[in-house]
This record gives sequence, structure tokens and C-alpha cells, in this order.
Amino acid sequence: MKKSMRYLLFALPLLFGSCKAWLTIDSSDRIMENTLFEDEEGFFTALNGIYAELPQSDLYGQSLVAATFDVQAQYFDTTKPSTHVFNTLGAYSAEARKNAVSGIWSKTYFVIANVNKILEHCESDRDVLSDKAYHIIRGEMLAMRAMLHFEMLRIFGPIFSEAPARISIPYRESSELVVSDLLPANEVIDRINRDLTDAVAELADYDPVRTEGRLNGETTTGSNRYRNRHVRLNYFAVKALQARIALYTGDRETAGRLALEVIEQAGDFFPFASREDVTGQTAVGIATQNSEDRIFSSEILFAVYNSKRTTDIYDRFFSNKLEQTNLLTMDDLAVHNLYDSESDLRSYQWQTLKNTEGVDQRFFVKYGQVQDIELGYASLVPVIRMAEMYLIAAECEEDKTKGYGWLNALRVARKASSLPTTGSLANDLQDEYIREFVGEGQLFWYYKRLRKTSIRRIYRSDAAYMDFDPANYLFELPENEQEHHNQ
Amino acid sequence: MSKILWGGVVLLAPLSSVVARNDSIPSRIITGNVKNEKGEFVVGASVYVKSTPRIGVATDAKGEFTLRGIPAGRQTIVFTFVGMIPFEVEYANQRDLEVVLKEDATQVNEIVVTGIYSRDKNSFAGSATTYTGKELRAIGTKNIFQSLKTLEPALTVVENRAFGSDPNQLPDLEIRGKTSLVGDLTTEYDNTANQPLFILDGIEVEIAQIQNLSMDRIASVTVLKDAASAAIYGSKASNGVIVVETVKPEPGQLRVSYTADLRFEFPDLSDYNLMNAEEKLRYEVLAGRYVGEDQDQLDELYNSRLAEVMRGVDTYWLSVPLRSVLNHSHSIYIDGGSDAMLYGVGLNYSDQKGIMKGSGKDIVGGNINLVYRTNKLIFSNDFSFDSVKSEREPVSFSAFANANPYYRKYNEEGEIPEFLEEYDIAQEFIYNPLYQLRRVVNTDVTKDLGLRNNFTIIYRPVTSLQIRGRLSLNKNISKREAFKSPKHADFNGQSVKGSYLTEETDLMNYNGDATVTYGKLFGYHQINAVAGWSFSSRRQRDTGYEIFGFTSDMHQNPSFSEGFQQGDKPTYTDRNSRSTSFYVNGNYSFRNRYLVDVSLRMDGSSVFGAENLFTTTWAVGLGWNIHNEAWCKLKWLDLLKLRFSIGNPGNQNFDAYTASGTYIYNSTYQTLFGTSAILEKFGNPDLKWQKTIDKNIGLDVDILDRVKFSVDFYHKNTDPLLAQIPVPPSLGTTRIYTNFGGQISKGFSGSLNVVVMKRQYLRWSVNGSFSQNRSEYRNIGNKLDFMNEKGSTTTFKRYYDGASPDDIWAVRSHGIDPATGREVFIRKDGSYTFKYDANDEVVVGSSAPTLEGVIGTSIFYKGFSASVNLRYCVGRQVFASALYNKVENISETALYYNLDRRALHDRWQKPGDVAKFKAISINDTTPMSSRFVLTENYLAGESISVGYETSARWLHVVGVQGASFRFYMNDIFRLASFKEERGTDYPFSKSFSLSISLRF
Repeated sequence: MKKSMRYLLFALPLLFGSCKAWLTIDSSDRIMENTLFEDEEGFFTALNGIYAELPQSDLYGQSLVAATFDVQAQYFDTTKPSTHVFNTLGAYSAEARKNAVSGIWSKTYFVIANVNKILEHCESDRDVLSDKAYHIIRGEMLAMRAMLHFEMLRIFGPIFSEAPARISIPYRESSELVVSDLLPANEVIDRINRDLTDAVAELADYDPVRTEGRLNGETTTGSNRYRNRHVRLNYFAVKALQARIALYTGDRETAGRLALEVIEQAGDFFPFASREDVTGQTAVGIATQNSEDRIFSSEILFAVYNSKRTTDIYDRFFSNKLEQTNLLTMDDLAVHNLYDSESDLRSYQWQTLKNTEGVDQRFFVKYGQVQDIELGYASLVPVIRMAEMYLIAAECEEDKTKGYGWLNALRVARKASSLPTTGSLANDLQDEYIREFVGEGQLFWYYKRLRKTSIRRIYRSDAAYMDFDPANYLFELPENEQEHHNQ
Repeated sequence: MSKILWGGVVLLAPLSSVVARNDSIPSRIITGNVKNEKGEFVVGASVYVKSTPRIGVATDAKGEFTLRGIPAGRQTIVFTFVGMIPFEVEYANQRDLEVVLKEDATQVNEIVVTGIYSRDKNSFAGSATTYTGKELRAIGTKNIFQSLKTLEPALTVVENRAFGSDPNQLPDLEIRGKTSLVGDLTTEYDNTANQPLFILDGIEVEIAQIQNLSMDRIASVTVLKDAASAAIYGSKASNGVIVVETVKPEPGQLRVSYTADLRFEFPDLSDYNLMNAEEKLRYEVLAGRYVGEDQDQLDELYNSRLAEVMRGVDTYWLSVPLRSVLNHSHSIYIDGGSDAMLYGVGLNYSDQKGIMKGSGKDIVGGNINLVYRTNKLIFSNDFSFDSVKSEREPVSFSAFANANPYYRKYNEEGEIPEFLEEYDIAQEFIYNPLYQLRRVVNTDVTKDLGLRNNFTIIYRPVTSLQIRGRLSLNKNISKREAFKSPKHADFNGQSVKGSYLTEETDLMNYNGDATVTYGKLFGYHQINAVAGWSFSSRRQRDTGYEIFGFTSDMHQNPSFSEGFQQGDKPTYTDRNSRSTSFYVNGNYSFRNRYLVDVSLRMDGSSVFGAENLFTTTWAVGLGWNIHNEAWCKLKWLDLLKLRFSIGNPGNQNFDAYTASGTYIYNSTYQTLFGTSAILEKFGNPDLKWQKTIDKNIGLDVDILDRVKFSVDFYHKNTDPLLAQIPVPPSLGTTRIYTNFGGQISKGFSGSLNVVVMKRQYLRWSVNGSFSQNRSEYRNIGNKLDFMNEKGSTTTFKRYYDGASPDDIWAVRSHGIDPATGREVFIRKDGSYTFKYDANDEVVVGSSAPTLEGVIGTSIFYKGFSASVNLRYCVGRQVFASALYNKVENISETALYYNLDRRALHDRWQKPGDVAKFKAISINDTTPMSSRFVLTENYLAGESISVGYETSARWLHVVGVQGASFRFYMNDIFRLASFKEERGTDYPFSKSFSLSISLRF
């Protein structure tokens, strides 16, 4: 009896000691935060998590690119039939505008919170990261935080040129669950710029994109972590974002300088798409509709990788299998009028297909299904491209002729004719914006930046202009956000 | 960790010294055995010398004893055992003395079973009550909770006004009110935040397992109410504990007992007050339904309906989906065996059809108990299984309640039309619920299979010491399959019709514990001690998917569907939690007068998060048996006991992983870089666990075994509260768990039982129970003011310091102005206004009753018995939502449905009308005012039963040893101070039942 008691006494410490380990558990589909950030692998898993969240429909799966703001920029005909799902949004009804942006806010700030978590662990778990990993992760995450806040500011902030100091959105720099105040728009811009400057500094010495370009595809020798830079916020993408933001805030000098820097330094790595690229010849050897690169993937500085692009975007808004009530498109003549000629490479984004009633109709196939044979463009949704750098350079150039130079460089690349330098550069730039960014959600912000009160009904064959109430550039914060900032 | 280890050593040290002691002088000796009246050996009975209680032993596993060293001179030997009348015998050097201890009838309830240890109630300082299976069966046969709520005043089954008598709905239980916030500040997972802990044969189980347990398998149910009694369950105990013990085999000849229950259940529609066809049409006219743009069409519509009404069409839709059901259940139990080997085998079947057609539950269960005993060891194994099949009604009751009485069920050809009206309103057809019920196949079936095995080893090296080890495995597989026909009303206007949903839950639990129990009487000092360790692990995996697109009801097979809707995919979640605990409980009593009870428990759980694996809870109970004091030796006073306890039990009924952050792997989108993970929950390492300081004072009185009275006052202070509050989404989430403020809950509950008449064969008693509970918030400050502001138009709950969670907030109403038909509101300063202003709101009532309980009487005469138990509830205010939504606030869409008659008769129509409700023509939203807050007092016939028990000789002829018959009426009437629709989604029911038990 006594002996067994003694054994029990010896067994007890083992029992207690092991219980801590026994109580710490993970399951197959989730992992504790602290366990995740225990090694570099975990950091990259979390980093992947950020990029894998971007294709959500409230972010770059619909709202920020394909439908929401392109409908409001009057690209597509939502007036017919009258029961069209985007009918009310196209007519700017208050209800529809509110619903259109309701999910964007919470989803974006959720991703920002995740970004802040990674940034915080970069410091607290610095010792598990190599120098390269630390600087690249930190750089990309600072840029991500800035980019997402900028998306929010464009939507929920004021028309910057009109009221730069108006209270707009909170800038979240910590994952701590404490409410942040709403800041004036210019203060938000200051923080965005600070984060982007820091990001550039972090990436400058470590991002392979500066010397090796985007490193498309996988390698069998060595790590794949720092490849495919075009689906990461790489050094050049960050610079390009800086240019876009500088222009949005009216800092033309900085915007022009940065755009030129990107064109100069990244031009070789991100060349304009050639006709061979666009027709699919580069990918499969012969021109075939099945392999067209309609997103001009070679010039994408940053794209969201969406493994379900066809079902998420094309099948939902643009497919020839959709009923007319759900379809976003324009008629044949409008497409025709959009470009100078059918030889314009951008007209590959439109195809004539049979609709559900078996009648020929134009469909927007930019995000349609294609076979890319390992080039990877079938799953990309562009966020920022070289073309925009040329347009920024053109707009910021003091000298009109030089400005036309940049614009015509882009047009030549698109197999369109050069424009005479005698026209209105501003008007020609606007036309080029309209042609270039179909399905990318950029045009509406071009209008907001310039506070346009008359915009073009692009889908109409007569391309008539309509009056636009600038109040429709402004979106109210969601109620569940606003109620915490009252008083 | 070293702290716990130290505790363990200290704990074990005195025990080992006790074990070591062994004194014996074999001069004067007495041997024998102790049995009970049934002839079974009594294990652990105390045998001692009356003059020198120090000299004593306890009977062993075979009921035998050997008492040595009896002092010289005339000595009396005393035999005692819990629940038995002490027996005394003069010492005369007896060998093989046979002592038969008789059951002490006055002490039937006097053992407290905590699931970890059992204690004589006399020496227990906590507040706990045990009810035997027989007592529960005397109230009703439906399930434990139905019977327990009648017996136990501290237990409340929160009335589910929507789901009435739905057999597939789990009850919402509370012991002594709420300690946690519920409502707007919780998620759907937290509806059970105030639910007690359920222990079945020592193992924590889910509420469904207790609800589905056959009433015949229950040996006893103990309700642990205060900190001292529940403290052994530590961090899970703040809502109280319900401990259920099942029947165990008893030695002897093979016995067979069989019980059959027949239950006749029928719908109770007396609370409904809907319009008939003529009234509805008249109402529609008054409400302006037939005036509008397309007047010709509206006129035509009106005339066709009027013609139908004139023709006498007046369909009473309510009764269409309902039925009266005769349910039966059977259970059989066979047990017996020798002292060394005992066995018991049980099988039960229960059919619980619901009063709505197509709804019901089928339960088949069984169990095998085996016990093997040697001198010092007892092995026992209990295996049980339950197979439950539950079916949900295909069409909701509200679809029938909404149908207008001027529609026909059948058309002229005698067929059931698919639509009541093809005329479309906002492009929607009016579906015929009868067609949905009869002609369309919609099924929703869940099948559960639960397997449970408990293995126990008990080792008794000496009589005062017992070591027990237990291991329990629990496996539960549940599969739900729901098919919605392509003709289901849900698919109105959709291109893809018909759906098939399946959900599967696989739950695996294992629990184990090791306990050392020590109990000994040293003269005047009685010591009981328990120390133990337990662990449990739970893994739940849920998988499921939903697919769409069926062409007909014929092919419900998922392979006939079109497949997933775009972007859909199967769901899979995997939840894992583990916990381990160390606990000690010590109990000391001096001359059975002064009692001290101390408990300490450390709980470690994966739920607390990595930073904070363990939490400690404690409780102290003090008791004073005044009747045992020398100065209080009153012949008529059998019991006068004062109890006090205090402790800090915790609450774990919150969603897992709150303290530490978790990431979930993203499987929606593939990346070029492999695995990805995203935050699932934000961690909050500073989050404090919700604990409650629970204080209790109680008094028990027993006079001449005729008047029994017991009352408990309690005070629970939960500080801080743990609740989910809404935060701005810019934080990255919309709700977070946070600690704030506190909540105080106080109240009392008690019971009185008086034997009015006691003759040889007759015993007539009356009983009553009562309870009251009041709660209020503390230290909330203005943290939730935005909730108050937001809630001013949608809810009557407010969060202020000193306010109660039960309060109903609204602007006071002065009634309807007879001149205009508009509502007159009362401002804060008492002046009247037509204008509603949320700032004028005040507390207009409380949903907590002033007093609630049961009054009853029972009578026994020879084998006959009868009892009546009525539930009363006074001084409770209710926000009458049916009045609010079906009499006023009738939206344009609600106008298409049938309505409460008061919308027609009691609303203001012309100047001068003194009406309770505003003008019919006023269509704007009525704000929530005190006009809809009504005081509810009710008296309900919860249980009325008559029984007869016999073991008459004629039964033996057919091989029956004994038989009992009992007839019940449950929820047979309800007298309430106002009438409101109850059971909007599933009606309430009344029932008669008959139970027959036979022992062979």
C-alpha cells in the first residue's frame, strides 16, 4: 500500500507537467495565432492569407474592380430591361448606392486588421525571420495597408480638390481593439504616403523585382516565395501607387516624377503587350481565341490572383449565358465607337457571341475563361498597370507636346493611331481612360478626382453625355460605423 | 505548475498516515452483517460502541463487519447508515449477528448526490435538493424537465412562446435567474449562457441527452443551487448543476419491470383570436385595401371575395395542419445477480409525435449495466445507446395562421389548388399551405445515434477510504437531411428550384476522473474529504452541403440535382477542446451541530487560451443544526438548520477560443504560394473570465414530520460580465468579447409541505413553492449608450446602471384620443403629447414575476394516490408582440394575411369611440409604448394525476409481483389575465396520459 502511494507521488509531477501541453491544441482547419507566427513558414502563410482574401466579392472580386463602380461610371447599359439588377445603381438611387458599398467597408478593415497583425508580429517575432523575409513582408504589408486605406478614402472620403480637410475615415495602424477616430482626408493621405515611403525603403534593397522582374511561374531550384512578384505588392507596384495617389491629391509634380521613374526602371520588366501576346500566339504558338491575353498581363504591376476568376466575375456579370437582367454589356455600335478601329488591341476584350436567345450580341470577355499554358494570366485581375503610368506622365507633363508624346506611346502600343498634338489633351486623356480601364473600376475615380459634372454614357451608340450630381461621388459611412463616432 | 504539485502532496500526506494506522485488541469482539429490508447487504454502514464512538468500523463490500476491542462492562453497539433508522443492540459477544436496518421514511430526500461524491444532507451545508425517479414520475411522463420544474422552485423553464409544444425544441433552463447577459449582446452560440451544467452518472452531457433519457431509467435527480454544493464543478458551475443518476442493478433473483405510457396530446388553440371571413373582408375595406390606382380591378377583386363570403366560405385554417396524437412508450428493465456479479439490461422505446402533422420524434434506447464485486474492489461498466429520429413539420404553422379565411381549401372540382390566388401582388403568388402540406414532399429528418460507455473501478482498502477511477466514452453521430420540393413556396420566382441539404455532426468525447474519498467518525468529529483529478476531451466535426435544382418530388436523391450553386461548396468545421481539473472538498462536523464545507477547484481548459490555462474557484459553506443543540431539545422539532455559503463559480458557456486569437486556413481561393490563413477570431489576452460571487443563506425546518419548510435567499454578483458588444467595423470585426460592468441577481425560493391529515392508511398533504428573482446592472457607465439610442425604436431593453435586464422600457401611453383616434403619450414631466419622443421613455414594467411557483396537494389512501399541481405566476409584465404586430402596425404586406379580431373590433373608428387601439386608417408605425405592456397573472394546471399501486395476490397468479397505474393530465388549463397568441410557430398542447408499470 505504502509503496503504491509512493509511486503515485512520483507520477504526479509528470501528470501536471504534461497537462499544459495537453491543453494546447490545434485542429485541422484552424491554428492559434501564437503558433502560426512561430516560424517563417507561418508568416508566409499569414501573408498568403492577405492576398487570398483580396478576390472576395466585396474587394477585388467585384466591388473594387468589375461591377460596382464601372456601372456608376456608365460603362454598361443597365436601363434595359427595367428590372435589370443594376438598374437602380446605374440611376444612382440612394438605397442602391448604400447597398453597393455596405460590404466593402467591413471587409477592407478586416484585411487591414490582418495586415496590422502581421506587422506587429514582424516586430515581436523578428528573430524567426531572415532579413530578406522581414523586409519584404514588412514592405508589402505597409503598402497593402496604405493601398486599402486609399481605396476607402476614394469611396468614403471627400472630393479631395474640393475639401481636403473634411473628416473622412479612420487610419488603422494597430490590431488593438480600440476605436480610432475619423481623420481629415489630408491627414489620411499623409499617413498613406508615410506608409508607402516606408514600404519603398523596405523593398528597395530586397525585392528581386528590381533586378529580375516579375519572375513569372515556379522554379524547381530554390524557393518560390519571392517569385511571381506581379501578384505581390512589389517595389514598382508601390511606386506606381504613390504616383496614382499623388495625382489624386493634386500633387502633379510628384505624380509625374514617380510615373516616369516607374516607366524608366520597370519598362523592360513590364513591357507593353504585343499583338502576339494578346492573340495567344505567345502562349500556344498560334493565335487562338481560347488563349487570348486580354488583360495585357505583361504590363501588370500588381494584380489580384483569383483562382476562380471566371465563375466569380465573368459568369456573374459578363457571360453570354446570363439573362439580360443580370448582364453587363453594351451594344455593337457602342463598342465600335469606343475604339478608333477593330485593330485596337483593346477590342479583343469584346467578342460577338450568341446570347441566351441565340441572337448575336457583344460580350465583355476580358475576364472570360482562357487557357494560358502556365503563363498565369487566366487568373489575374489587374489592380495597377504600366498604362496608367503613361497616362499620369501625360497628364502631369507641363509641355503639351511632351504630354501627347506619352499618350501616343500608349496608343501606339495599343495599335491605335497617334493623335495630333493640337487637340485638347485633357479630353483625349479622358477618352483614353475610358478605353483603357473597362472592368477595372478606375474611371469613376478619375471623374471624382476631376469633379466631373457631366459624364459620358459609354454604352450608348451616340455616346451622349449626362449631367452628373457631384453629391453622388460621396458615400456615407456604414451606419454601424457612424454610430460609434457620433457626439 | 509547482503550486498544484504542492497541493497534491499536502493532500495525500494525511491520507497515507490514516491508512497506515491499524490498532486492534482482539479481546471482546462482535461479527456479523448488515442488510436492508430488501435483504440486500449494506456497504459502508457504521458500527460503533455507543459510549466510545472512537471504537468503530464500517461494513465491507459484502456488508460484513468485525468490531474488536470493545471496552469492558455493559456496552451498546450502534449501527447507522445514511437514510436508515439507527439500530442499537446490547453487546453479548455475538458472532454472525444479522442486523436489518430499516429505511427512515422521513429521510427519503436526505442524500445529496453531487455526481462526484454523495453526502448525508444533515451534514451538508450547501443548497441542494434531490428528487427520486418515483417523485418525478408522479408529476408526468414526458421528460425530466417537465416534471422537475413542478418540483423545484429554483428551476425555471423559460417559456418559448413561439415554439409551444414542439417536440424537437430544446428547453431553455435557468436555475435562479440569469448571471450572464443575453439578447443583443450575444451571438447565436451564446443563447445557452445561462444554462445549467448537466451531469449524467458523473459525466457532463448535453441537454438533449437528458431530455431524451427515458423517465424509467432515472434513479434520482439532484439540483445543486448554491456555490457550496456546485463548487466541485468549479468554472462551469455558476448557473447551477443538474445531476442525474440512472437506475443501477440490485442483487437478488431475476427481476423484470415493465412500464408502458400512453399519452393523448391535443392542440390548444384557445389563445388564438383570429378573424373569420366576413370580419377579415370588412377589415380590409376599412383599411383601404380596395381603393387604389386600378379601381376596376380592385372592385372586381372585392366583389369576387364578397361573393365567396356570401356563399359561406369561412375556412378555419388553424386546425388544418394539426392533429391529436396518441403517443406510447415502453420500457423494460431486467436485473438481478449475486453479490459478486450483478447485471441489468434495459430497453426503451418512445414515440413522440407532435401535434403538427409530420412532426415528431422516435427514441429507441438501451443499456447494459454490469457490476463485479470482490472484497475490496468493485468493477462496473455501463453501456447505453440512444437512437433518435426527429422529423420537422413540412410547413410552418404561421403559414396557416396567416391564410385568409375567405379562401377555400378545395376548389370546385374538389382538388387542392396550388395557389389560393393567382392574382399576383408584387409578382408573388399566394401559396396554398394545404397544397404544400399534402401535395408536395418536403422532408426534414435528423437521425442521431449516441453511444456511451462508463467504466468504473472502486477500491476500498479500508472502509473509511475509497479510491475510484472512471473512464467514459461518448460518441454521437447526427445526420440531418432536408429536402425542399421544387414547388416549395421558398422558390417562388427563382430559376433554380428545389434543394437538398445535409448536415452531419460527429462528436467524440472522452472523460475520466480519479477520486479519493475519505470519511470517518472520530468521536464527535465527523470528517469527509474528497480529492480528485479529472480530464475531458471533446472533438466535434461538422460537415454539410446544400445543392439545388430538382425537377420533381419523385427524385429526392442528391444525384438528381443540378449541383452546387455557383461559389458554394461543402462546409467542414473541426472543433477541439480539452480540459482538466483538480479538486478538493473537505467537510467537517462537530457532534452533527456545526458543519463546515470547503471546496477548491482548479480548472485548466483550452478555452482559456494559452496565456491563462488555469482558473481557480472556491467555496465555503457553514451549517448549524440547531435542533441538535442541547438547549434546543424540543420533542416536536425534528430539524432546524441554518446554512450559509459563499463561493465564486465560473461560467464556460461562451464560444471557445475567446482569449487567444485563432487563424483559419483559407480554402476558398488558391494561391501561387501554398497555404494561406486568415484571422478567424481576435484574441484578447486581457479578457477576464466571468465569475460570480454567489452567496446563499438557507433555513430548513421539520416539525413532527408534518410540517416541512425550506427557504433560501441568494445574492449573485457577476463582476465583470463577459459579453459581446458591437464595435465599429473599422476595428476589423463587428463584435468583440469584452469585460464590463457587472450584474447582481438576488432572490429567494422556498417550499412548504404540510401533512394535513395522517391516519393509518391515509395521508393528505398540501404543498407550495415560491420564488422571486431580481437583477440589475452595475458599473456599466455610458459604455452602452449607443445601444440604448439604437434600441429606442426596436427593443425595450436598455443598459443603465441600476437598471434591470428584466425591465421593459417604453414611452408611457395615455391611451387613444377618442376625438382623433391617435395615441396620446405621456412626457417625462407628466404632460400629454401626440408626438412620440424616445427621450420620454421610462421603465414601464418588469418581465420578472413578483412571485412564481407551484401550489398543490396530494393524498394517499392505501394503494391509491392523487395529486394536483398548479403553477401560478403573478406580477409579470409582458410586451404583447402579437398585439403590436397583428392588431396595430399592420404593414401593407401583413394586410394580406389574417389578423387578430381586435384589429377590427377594438380599434378606433369614429370620433367618440373609446378604443384601446388606434384608428384603422392610420398606417404609420406605432412606436413601442406602454399600451402594449400588459400585466400577466396566470394559473395553469401543470399536472394532475391519480394513481393506484398494488401487489395483490391475484396478480401473482399471472406472475406479476406488483403493479401500478397512473393517469395524468398535463397543462390541461391556463387562466390568464390577458389573452395573447402563444405558439406562433408551433402551437401549445394539452395532454392526458396513462402509465402502467408491472414488476415480474
